[in-house]
Amino acid sequence: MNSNVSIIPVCALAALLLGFASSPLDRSISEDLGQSAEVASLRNLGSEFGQGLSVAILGGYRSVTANLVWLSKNENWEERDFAGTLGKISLATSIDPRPEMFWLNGSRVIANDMPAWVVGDANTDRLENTEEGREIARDYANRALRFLEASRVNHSDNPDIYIEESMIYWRKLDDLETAAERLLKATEAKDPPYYAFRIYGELLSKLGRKREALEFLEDHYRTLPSDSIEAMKGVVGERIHVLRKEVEGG
Amino acid sequence: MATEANERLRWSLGRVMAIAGNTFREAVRMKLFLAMTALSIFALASSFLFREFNFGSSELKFIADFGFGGMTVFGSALAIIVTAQLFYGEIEHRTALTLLAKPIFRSEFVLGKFLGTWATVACFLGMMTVCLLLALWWRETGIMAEYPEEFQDGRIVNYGDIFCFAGVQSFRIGILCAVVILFSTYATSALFAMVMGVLIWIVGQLQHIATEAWGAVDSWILKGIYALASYALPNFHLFDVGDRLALGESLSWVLYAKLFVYTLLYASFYLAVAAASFNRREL
Repeated sequence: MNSNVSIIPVCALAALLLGFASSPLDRSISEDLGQSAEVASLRNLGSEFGQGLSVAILGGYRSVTANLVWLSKNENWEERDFAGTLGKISLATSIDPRPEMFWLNGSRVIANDMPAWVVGDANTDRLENTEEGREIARDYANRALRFLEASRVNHSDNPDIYIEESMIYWRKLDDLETAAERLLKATEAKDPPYYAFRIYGELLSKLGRKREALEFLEDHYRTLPSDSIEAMKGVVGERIHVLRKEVEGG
Repeated sequence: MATEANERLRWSLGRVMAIAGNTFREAVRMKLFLAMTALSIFALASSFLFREFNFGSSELKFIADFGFGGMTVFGSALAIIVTAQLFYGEIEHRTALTLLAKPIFRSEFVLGKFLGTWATVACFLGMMTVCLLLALWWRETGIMAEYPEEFQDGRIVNYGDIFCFAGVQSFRIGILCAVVILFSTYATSALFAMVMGVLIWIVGQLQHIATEAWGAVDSWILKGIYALASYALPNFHLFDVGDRLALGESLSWVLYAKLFVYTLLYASFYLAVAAASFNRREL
């Protein structure tokens, strides 16, 4: 045995002790950087080791790699390759879960395009008119919702994700109660768009909760700026007027 | 007589710096160093070509990501290759014998080589930082001229953070250099030291996953393996601060201080073991 090989066991033990001693510092840095979210993201996505490796090794090249994966996904999408499209959407969001565009477009592909691929372009009306078609649409809508759920690690306060979920519940699952609940979350999230408030008010009205809708829109109206086109203060005012009539009339 | 001379010989920082200086000069003259620097600058420049394919993030963030990636990936590769070449090369070509025949402690040789290679990679990081700063400044100025209303509060890129990122990467690479030196003291070929360096780099990057997995598995054997990976190796993932900086968040000085202490702990440990191993090595 070489004389320097003989110190290996002692060194290995010392390395373990150092690792043990420095683990509080390690944890503290990791918490400061919010890195626990990344491991959770990998776990939520059910990533394979290869994907985790990409995330860990690529470092700053994440954006580039994720974009290239997303680009190559378009080829699978054009060929209507279910496995390839789903795999690449998942891989792109696993490599770089930060851009909301991957999540929003990914969920739209799953919820809107894939059911049409199953029944064929000529038969898309079957998705609404037959029980079998509705079942297919529901299945993919639920898949899209599960996909969006995984975005929560990085987008817990993103109103666009909640709005997307709401649209799936509303349009694909016909579940207005949950759609309204998601829209409410969107209005409570960071920097919600004005239209989220308007749609929430509309959904409450559709659900027959007109007084609640009126109160919500009145509260919202008071916060609206007069000089913003997006705020559509006049439209909200008119809606309040109509709702007040309905509530008072009813 | 020799024992008497050794007893009188004192450990000298001057000799360490002389070895470090020579190592640095030798390293920056290597074609590999120039090629790697040119390649990473080319990679940064290519971000201007790729920006059309960028879907998820702003153009400036995309360029910053590219630059940060170049510093991390090429910097780590350079650290592994240059360290193995320069340290093991001295043993392989027997030049270490000539040097160590003089009144020099082997620990001085180890530390000098470490500082020389670390300075080389720091030089690479410095050049990349300047290139990234120029790229971002140029592009931001262009965007400012195009969309002045978006820049009413002035420039949005925090240029100081790029220096901070380069500093943090130099910490990471410092540990990596120390690890490769340690393996070079055992190695019988430069390739072995390089391969071990790459493996430690990968496992170190994934160490946080092993730590998470440790708590999630039931098997005691797996727990043991994960615990070994968690404790025996440094966590290089801690130095991945680019994500936060690219998003425009500034990190506290306390965090930088913690990363420095972490680097000091691990680099000192690996260098101490490398010195002990090299002292026992028959050249």
